[in-house]
Amino acid sequence: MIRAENTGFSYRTEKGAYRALKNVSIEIRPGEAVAVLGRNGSGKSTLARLLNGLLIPDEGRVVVFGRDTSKDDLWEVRKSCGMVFQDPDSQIVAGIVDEDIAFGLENTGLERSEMEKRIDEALSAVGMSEYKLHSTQYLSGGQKQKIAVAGIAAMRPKCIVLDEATSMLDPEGRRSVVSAVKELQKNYGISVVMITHFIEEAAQCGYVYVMDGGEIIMEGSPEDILTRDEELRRCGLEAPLCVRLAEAFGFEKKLYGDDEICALLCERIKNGEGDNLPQKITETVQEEKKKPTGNTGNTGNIIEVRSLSFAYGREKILEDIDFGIKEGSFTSIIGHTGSGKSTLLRLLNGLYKPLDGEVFFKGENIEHIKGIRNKIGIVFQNPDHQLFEETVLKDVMFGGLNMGMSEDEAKKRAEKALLAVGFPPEKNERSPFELSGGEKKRAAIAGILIMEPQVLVLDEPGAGLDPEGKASVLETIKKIQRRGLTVVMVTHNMENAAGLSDHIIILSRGRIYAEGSPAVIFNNAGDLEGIGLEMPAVAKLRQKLGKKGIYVPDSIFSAEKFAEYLKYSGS
Amino acid sequence: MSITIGQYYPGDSFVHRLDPRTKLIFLFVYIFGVFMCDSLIGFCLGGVVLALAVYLCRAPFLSVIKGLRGVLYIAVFTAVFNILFTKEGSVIFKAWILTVTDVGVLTSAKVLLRLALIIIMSSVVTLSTTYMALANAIECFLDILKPIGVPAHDIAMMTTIALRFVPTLFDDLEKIKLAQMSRGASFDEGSFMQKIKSIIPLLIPLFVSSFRTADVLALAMEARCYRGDVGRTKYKVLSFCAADHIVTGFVILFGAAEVFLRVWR
Repeated sequence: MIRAENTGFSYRTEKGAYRALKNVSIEIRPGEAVAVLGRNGSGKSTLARLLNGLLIPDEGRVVVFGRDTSKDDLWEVRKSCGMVFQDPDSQIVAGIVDEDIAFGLENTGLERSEMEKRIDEALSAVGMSEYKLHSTQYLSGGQKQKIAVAGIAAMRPKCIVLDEATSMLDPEGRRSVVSAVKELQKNYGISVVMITHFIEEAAQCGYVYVMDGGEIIMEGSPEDILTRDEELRRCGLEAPLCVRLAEAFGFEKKLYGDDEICALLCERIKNGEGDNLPQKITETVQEEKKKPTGNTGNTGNIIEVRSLSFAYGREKILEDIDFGIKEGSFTSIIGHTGSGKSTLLRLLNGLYKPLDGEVFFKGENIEHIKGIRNKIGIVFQNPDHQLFEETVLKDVMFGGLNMGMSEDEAKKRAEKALLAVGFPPEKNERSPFELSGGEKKRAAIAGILIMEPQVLVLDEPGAGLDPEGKASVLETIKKIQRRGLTVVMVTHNMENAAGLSDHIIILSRGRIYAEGSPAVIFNNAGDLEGIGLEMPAVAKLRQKLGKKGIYVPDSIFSAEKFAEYLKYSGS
Repeated sequence: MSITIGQYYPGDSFVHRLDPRTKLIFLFVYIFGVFMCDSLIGFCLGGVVLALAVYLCRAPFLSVIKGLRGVLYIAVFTAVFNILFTKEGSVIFKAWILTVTDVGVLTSAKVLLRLALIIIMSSVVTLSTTYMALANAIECFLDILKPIGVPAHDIAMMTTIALRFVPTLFDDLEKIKLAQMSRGASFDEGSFMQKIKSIIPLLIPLFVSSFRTADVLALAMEARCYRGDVGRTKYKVLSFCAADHIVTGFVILFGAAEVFLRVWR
């Protein structure tokens, strides 16, 4: 059993102590799966690090299987409680899979023959046996995380802590890591602590803690906690779709399965509730149905991609890509890791040269356009890869100065760009390295907007942010698009793409798998899960209801509108 | 998949199975031998030994040579330079300020040959040996120096990690470069000072990201019970077997032969 008793922890910085944990008590019983939910900065990662003695609490104590982390041998503590970190690239020590798994075993002084046995056992437990002699460098993110899990499992711990270990993975990678960990829990009786902000992962655990501001705000069974939408929202989280629907209809608050909630909804609607469909709702629904896909204020496409191919050496990355992007539209390019979506994005403004085919901007081949990168601006996934100046303002000015603007002009435009992305103006003179994840992202977008591009391309703009931060950054991007900018977003998150875009392109293995409006894509695009993606929860439910003869318009993707529509339509 | 210099190619050949210490000793003695050789017969001997090693390594050497192109260009460039600036010997060809002499051609050819032999032989070693194994071998050699306070284990662990993260750093650098290019940065225009200045937007994010990586790595290693070489065992135990003795004996003979050829020519 692991027990944290009234623990507190402060980080010491130049500006004084920062209290990250206040009076936190948790308990993890043997063989149990526990989730710790919370927004970024809520203290959940600090708590994780207390659990295996990477940090020692200032107040209270942590007892790990009978050992007090402030008094006993930390080495024994860490042997019994292993930890998997967020970044797949930073935690692998060796170049070959088996050598990496051996690392922990070597540290604990195990015999060689025993090591062989445990490495094989751990690899088969996470389903990675055939990769034993592979180079760690070429594995996918999900595979790297499974190797990290195996490296811990081989030490035969009593508990594994996953510190946001799935947050950098695509849906397929996330599913496979979670199922590998669940197998370990089932087959070896290992306790699991999942530090996460994915509500679906918490729903699979036996007990849930919700943290905010360094404190435990709620705790209890998932059934109890995850059904309290309002309280979860205050902590920057959101209850699952089924709960929100149940709430709207006044059903008993429970974590329903898709089929259960579907049956309940059918029953209610067929009993003829809600003939009183209010005018307002009908209008919005009608309007939404009538709204054409893509803002076709201008004839012709702003970007036109024709039979584009790309290869690294002999390895084909993209083949025969054809599509057009309408001016003022919001296009999402969706694909699993390795589908070629990041490469496609780099081809759009000539960072990479295509092997074959062309990209046109307003009818002209981009190879012949001078300063094309100012016209099609790309915001890369990780803001840390571009922020470098002393202050945020200077950093945003960089792009403007490169275009040849005067210092004053650049400053004026930088302030405007920062305002447009909702960056708090009082932080303009701060160092970009002191910002939160969401603020960095905004600064990075402003760094492109200063060049006043006509197309804004974003690679996975929600990466690394918590649900709240993600939603608010995406909202900002939508606002920017409404003001007339064409937006192209590359993502593996269907949920985001569904609500925001009017045009979706799905890539799989370097080819276009499907293309069309969200409604078309999520209702007739075939087996999206088969190509490593995930249907949005609303679309899934819509399909199920459709089979029972209840029609919900294709254009509705938000849970609220979905509930409203159902509530007021009736048979 | 292209193979770059210093990369490991998984396999189970005779060379792969040799003890990493043998391979390091072999490489050092071979390099010594190649620097010794000065005669046609000496170079032939070096070539034969290399051919044997390449054959026994069973790696895709064509792609290896392709990967070495960059290094070979430099070697050829050096050689050409050497030819043009050697003034001794009899003149073969003279035009404008360029003079080519027989001695110049000969020395350059020798330099080029030596470089090629050494580079390819080094690739045989890195292709067939994992970072961990190399580090183990280094640690083992440094162990002799432990009594005088050389931290053998730490040096070896640092070497392994440095090698392991080279590709990660290059990945990061590529991403940073693309991100800054998207903001209108250019890296190959302007005066020398401008070029130097243009590196700053690359270097700072690279440093920041490598420090962050180092931070996480240190935590991850600690979480996996790393505490230096205290009570540590080895997964890949180094053991000298018959083949290692034979190979070591063989390369010492090679070295001796080259010395002999040089001295008693």
